Amino acid sequence: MNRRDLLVPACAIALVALMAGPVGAQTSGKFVDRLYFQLDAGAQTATPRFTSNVTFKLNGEDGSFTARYRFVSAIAVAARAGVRVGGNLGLGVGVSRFVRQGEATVAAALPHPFFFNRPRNVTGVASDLKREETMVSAELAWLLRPRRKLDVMLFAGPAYFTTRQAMATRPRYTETYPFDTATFVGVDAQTVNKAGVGFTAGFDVSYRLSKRVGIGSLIRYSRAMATFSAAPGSNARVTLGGVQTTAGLRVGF
Amino acid sequence: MVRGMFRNRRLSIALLVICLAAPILLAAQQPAGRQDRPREVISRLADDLRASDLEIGRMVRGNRLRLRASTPDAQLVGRVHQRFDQYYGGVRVFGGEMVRQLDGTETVSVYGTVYDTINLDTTPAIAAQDAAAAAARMAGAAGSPTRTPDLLIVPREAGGLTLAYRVRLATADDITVYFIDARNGSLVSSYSDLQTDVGTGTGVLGDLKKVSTTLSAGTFRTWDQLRPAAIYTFDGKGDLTRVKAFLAGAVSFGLADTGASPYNTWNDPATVDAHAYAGWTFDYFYKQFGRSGLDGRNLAIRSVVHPVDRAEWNKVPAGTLNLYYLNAFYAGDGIMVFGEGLPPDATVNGYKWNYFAGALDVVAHELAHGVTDYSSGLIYRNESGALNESFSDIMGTSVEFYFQPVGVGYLKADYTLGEDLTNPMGGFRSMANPGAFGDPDHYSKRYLGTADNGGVHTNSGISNQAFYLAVEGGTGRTSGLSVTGVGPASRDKIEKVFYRAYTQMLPAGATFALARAATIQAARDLYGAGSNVEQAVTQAWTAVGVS
Repeated sequence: MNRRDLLVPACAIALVALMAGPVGAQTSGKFVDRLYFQLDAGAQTATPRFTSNVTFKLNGEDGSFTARYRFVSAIAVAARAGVRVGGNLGLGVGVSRFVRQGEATVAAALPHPFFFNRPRNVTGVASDLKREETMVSAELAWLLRPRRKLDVMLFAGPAYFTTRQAMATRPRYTETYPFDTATFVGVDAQTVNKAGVGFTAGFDVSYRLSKRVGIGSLIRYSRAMATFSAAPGSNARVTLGGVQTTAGLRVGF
Repeated sequence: MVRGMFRNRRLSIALLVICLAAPILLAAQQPAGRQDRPREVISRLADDLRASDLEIGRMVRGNRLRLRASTPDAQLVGRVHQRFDQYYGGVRVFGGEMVRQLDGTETVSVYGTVYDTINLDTTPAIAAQDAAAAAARMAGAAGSPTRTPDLLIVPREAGGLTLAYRVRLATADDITVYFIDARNGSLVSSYSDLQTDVGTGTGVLGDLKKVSTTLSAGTFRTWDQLRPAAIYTFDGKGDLTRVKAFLAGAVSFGLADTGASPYNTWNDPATVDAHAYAGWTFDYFYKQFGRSGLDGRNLAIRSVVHPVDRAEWNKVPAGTLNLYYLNAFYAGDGIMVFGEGLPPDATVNGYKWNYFAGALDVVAHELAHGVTDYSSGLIYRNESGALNESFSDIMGTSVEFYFQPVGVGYLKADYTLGEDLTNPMGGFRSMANPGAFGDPDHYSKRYLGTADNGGVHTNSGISNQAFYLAVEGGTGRTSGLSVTGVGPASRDKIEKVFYRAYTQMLPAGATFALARAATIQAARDLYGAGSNVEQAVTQAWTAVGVS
């Protein structure tokens, strides 16, 4: 997580706190809502990078390539709902989803068509390696109302992730006789579907605009591990989740 | 108003459901199947496999999928690969397939491409023979169907599916598959069914090599299409009568005469080496001199192995033994013939003789004759003939140094010709010491008789020695004159000098004196007057008595 990843949530939380400022002199209240709902949009600001190593047959010999994946920030949508079961304790569920574009820096060794042990080394960047990730979580929440219109919620719980990741399976390249060099042009990709169980934890700060409706901001960190196989015999251990920062509507009853 | 809205509990619950369901619905989106694009089936997970098994079962019961082959896995015992073809209205869908891997009764994987939506009439308007005739017209008169046309449902390149006959036609230089529209006889699409590939094989001396081949009609052929010049290696199958007819131009060798392998794994060492070494030699001339094949215009290279039956070696006339068993030769027009050698327990002159295609310097030597043929045309007798032979020796040795590690032994680069052919290791000429094989290393010792076209294989030693000294330096054994060579690291400079002189500067009737003058000039052209290359070449010729 870098400094920029924290900037958005920090600003959002500060904004909510600022709005709560004018009522700071008021006495804090007890969290009284029985049910709460949240509908958010925001950013998946950090998705862990990963590396996959693939071997493939080419020209009667084993070729190989390494793809180092990285992702740009993406819009995340999330919804949460829960019930206060007693005191400050709540139980809830959450769903979040993001689709983000990724790319991979590829370094490949392409066997020569005429000779053993004379690989052509090519490098390049492969784009359009999209990641789609949906997380469903069950959450134990600690609900606080430090000031009259300001709600704070700390939550954590197990999470189930389903992920679709476009994985590079083989480099594409051009070559001409005498084939001593080759030029990288892209990759063949295959979408891999994987699921993983992990956890999510975060906190939410919201400001009541009315008795039932408010706005809020949330930051959470989620994590699970999954093994992606881009090709037979090639497995990449991948961290799912990451840092998610969202803001949106808060409704309580 | 907002407050009022959320007082309604039903509305609140509906909102909650929508909030939770929206991302899930987004995640579950799948593109619908289209008629012109197959759906890919990739199943490796338990749930997917169950679904694919059910789908296969449904399609088989509905006669939309038929089992074509069930093949035991050669690599994993107990595994079986089932291949299903998709059908619609009793007609096979081209490219519609499911492939299921079973481990016993358990499904391990399912991969497939299936067309989900097909809607067309499967009754053809033209007969199969009409489609074959239409394809033959498109291919020209030379084309003839290799199989009975089959009726298929095929994707159009512009989109959609259509009913078409598949006609496979063999022409003089290609095998083409035509899809002929079964309604009106027009061309739907076509493609060449010749596929280049790279196989592997073991050479005469047991070394593993890559073999550039072409897949034709399910069989890999020793037809190299990766290089700019087509390279064919024909298997004479020991039928000398037919090989002689081929050399005389009375019969043509075609694809059926090339080496064949069902899996692109090559076990005939003579075929492997002839094919690979011809390619390497082509590469050498291209990379070192920028020359495009024997004629500079990518003339096809055609090698013949197994011209005779090895087992018959002691029953054939001496001429046949010497030419087709214990020799290799360039027959003109890019054709090489490589001797069969002897059975493992037979000896001639105290040596066991292996396949002549198994020596890189021998293969390159013969191909270099082709280069000479299409360049200076050095007349194959007397001094010009000796220069012709020497040029082939120089090129054969240079190709060895280009591709093999320097050293002593089999598959090593050295200045001995043909050392890889015999056991014990011998050879038939030495550039470092021509006298070791009875050849002259000095002009004063040249053979002046008429045998061997005026000693072309003998007097080549003079030019060979000059090349050697120009590279390595040393002292001429006969003259006692010392030469400062350019050194092994600069061997390529002397190669370029001799190539330039022998192919581009010498007349067909050249003499040793002309060869000296031309190589010195070539050294000046390439590396400047007074360069160490020019000095080395000059000293070398002087040391071998050519002035």
